[in-house]
Amino acid sequence: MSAEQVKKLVAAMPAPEPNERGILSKIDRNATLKAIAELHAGGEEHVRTLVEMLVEPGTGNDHQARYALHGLALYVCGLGGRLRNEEDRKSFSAALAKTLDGDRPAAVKEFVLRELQVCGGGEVVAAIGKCLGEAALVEAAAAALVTIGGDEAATQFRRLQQSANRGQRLIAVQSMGVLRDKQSVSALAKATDDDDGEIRTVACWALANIGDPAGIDACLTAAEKAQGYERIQAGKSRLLFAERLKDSRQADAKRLYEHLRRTSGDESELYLREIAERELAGLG
Amino acid sequence: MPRQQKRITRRSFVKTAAAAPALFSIVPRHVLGGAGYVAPSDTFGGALIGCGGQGPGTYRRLSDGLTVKQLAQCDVKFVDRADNKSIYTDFRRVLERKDIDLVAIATPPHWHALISIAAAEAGKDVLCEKPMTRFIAEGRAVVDAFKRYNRVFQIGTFGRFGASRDNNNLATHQIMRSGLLKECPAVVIRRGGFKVKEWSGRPTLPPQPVPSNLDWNMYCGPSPLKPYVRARTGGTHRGYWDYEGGGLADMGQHQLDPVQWTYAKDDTSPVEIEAHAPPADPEVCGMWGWVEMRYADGMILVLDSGEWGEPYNRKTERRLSVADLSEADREKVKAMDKPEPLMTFAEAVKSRQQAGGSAEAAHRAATLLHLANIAIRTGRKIQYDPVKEQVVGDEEANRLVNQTMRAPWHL
Repeated sequence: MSAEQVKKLVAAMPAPEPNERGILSKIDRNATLKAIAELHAGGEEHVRTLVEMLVEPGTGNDHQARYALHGLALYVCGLGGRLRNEEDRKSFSAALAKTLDGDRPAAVKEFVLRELQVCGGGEVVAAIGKCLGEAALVEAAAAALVTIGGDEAATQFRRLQQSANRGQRLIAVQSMGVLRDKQSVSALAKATDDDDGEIRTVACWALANIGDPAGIDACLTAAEKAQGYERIQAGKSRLLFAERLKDSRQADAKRLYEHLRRTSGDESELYLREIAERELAGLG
Repeated sequence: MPRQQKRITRRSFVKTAAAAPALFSIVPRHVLGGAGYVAPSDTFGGALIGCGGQGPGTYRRLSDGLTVKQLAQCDVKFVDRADNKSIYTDFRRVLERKDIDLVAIATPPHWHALISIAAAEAGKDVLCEKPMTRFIAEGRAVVDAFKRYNRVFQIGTFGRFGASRDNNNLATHQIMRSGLLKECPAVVIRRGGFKVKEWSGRPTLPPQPVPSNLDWNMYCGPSPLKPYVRARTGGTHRGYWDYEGGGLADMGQHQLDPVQWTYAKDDTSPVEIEAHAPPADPEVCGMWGWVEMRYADGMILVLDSGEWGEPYNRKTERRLSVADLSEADREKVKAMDKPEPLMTFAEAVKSRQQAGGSAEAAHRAATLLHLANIAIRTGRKIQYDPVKEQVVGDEEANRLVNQTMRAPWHL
């Protein structure tokens, strides 16, 4: 199928209705689904053609191409009652990920990453990981990787965490926490002493969320220095950490609660002390 | 007396009162202090976060029945006037304040969960605008936080209060609460009122310069940092998946909160959800026809927009009545105690008990909107596990149950 035919199918996608504020109010569901199915039948070549139709926001109207690509991402996962086919999903995602290699505007690549977040799996982690190094793409790439998850995604963030760029480090620290990556504990412990308050706060939370006792000391040390909002968050981190451990490692959980009780001396932190006391009583 | 000391005195009073409800109920405050007297210890420090059109109304409801001194207003569009004394752009600076006890949240919904949780972590009670959340996992995190910190949360929709005073609803509630009905034959259909077109987004608007008074990065917060388009703010944010979920998310909590109470579904969710809708746009919320949801007990809940496609015609509305019970079971239901009246925010703050429209109830009501939107956005029937709060056997659908947040924001 030629690029012209792809364009014809894209033109069958819904378009803004000028008489209704430009919303997508008139959509023929069956015709749209049929066009998406035909686009899908064209395989990798169609995916590439569709991506080539995308432009930077404000430089042209590529809405129908975006809608079609999103439709395909949904289609391979079972849109419209279609039976889900894992091979279809993988080959579409892989074809889409290949377009990240080309020389395209960052905004276009960002859209591709957002669609990989919808339908991508382990097969596209490496391709997405390459985008973590680009400032304009790091957020979208991280979102896709965290959504896909798994050890390989965590490896990408451990690499990113060594970056000198503050924004990239923050994203890495948070992502390792969300993925609960135990291999990140020592890097996160170091990050609790970062010069940047946001990185310190997120690192403490990440250690707590992972719940590996090797992170306790760093978390407690950071809590003792924390002020203002960081101090409020240090309370959260200790509680979360203790909750993660209280069934399997009671002594460690007790240590966290005792620390919270001891350091919540200010009258404004009575509520924290009360929680710590309640939990300690529960642990016996 | 320093404010901090006043605050502790009030909290101690509240704590004692909660432990001794009889004393609390027989000695009114005006007797203790004389008619019209407001003891300083009963004055709460209040803050409003999100000062757009809905903000003042939300703050009024926060203050209803309480003496609240407004100490802070916070909005990301206050860049040109923030003094970090009473006007703020960053809610974290507000929550650091030890003299603030109560927080009203009227931001766009992509901030509701995070600010509610942060407020609980800072020891504050919260009244939050609807919809409670942008996705399901946020709701569970809010419930967990308010339980962990023993704070009061109420959602800013009050239909359940009216429903709980209606005799027909009360009768249904009692039947459902009794557990005597093994299969629920009810079919509840909500037709219209979802503002589908009104809150559909416009997908082709070009980027614009960010206004000088707006902290756009903070506005986007946990959602992706996209190029600024005015329609992404100021009410029309409802048309973007990044911030809300169209008219369904905007109006659904109002419509469905009373249904949840009436049918005693505050601790559960549907198990099967099917939507009739065209393929969804990646950025903007759009058209849908109807959504059918089935609970584990067989009850059917239908949302029929009346704004796209053929109207819902699979089933007709069917209410519950005592006739659905055996003679013996009717007597058992008649003998049941009536449910306790729902507590207002003020009563909950004073007694440290759960408000009507508590976090769990609000979360379960919001879950309905999110499940409906997941079925619309994925374009397929989904099975849901109301205990694990996960879509069953559909990894990609679960990506909408728990959505990734932009650093440093996380649940």
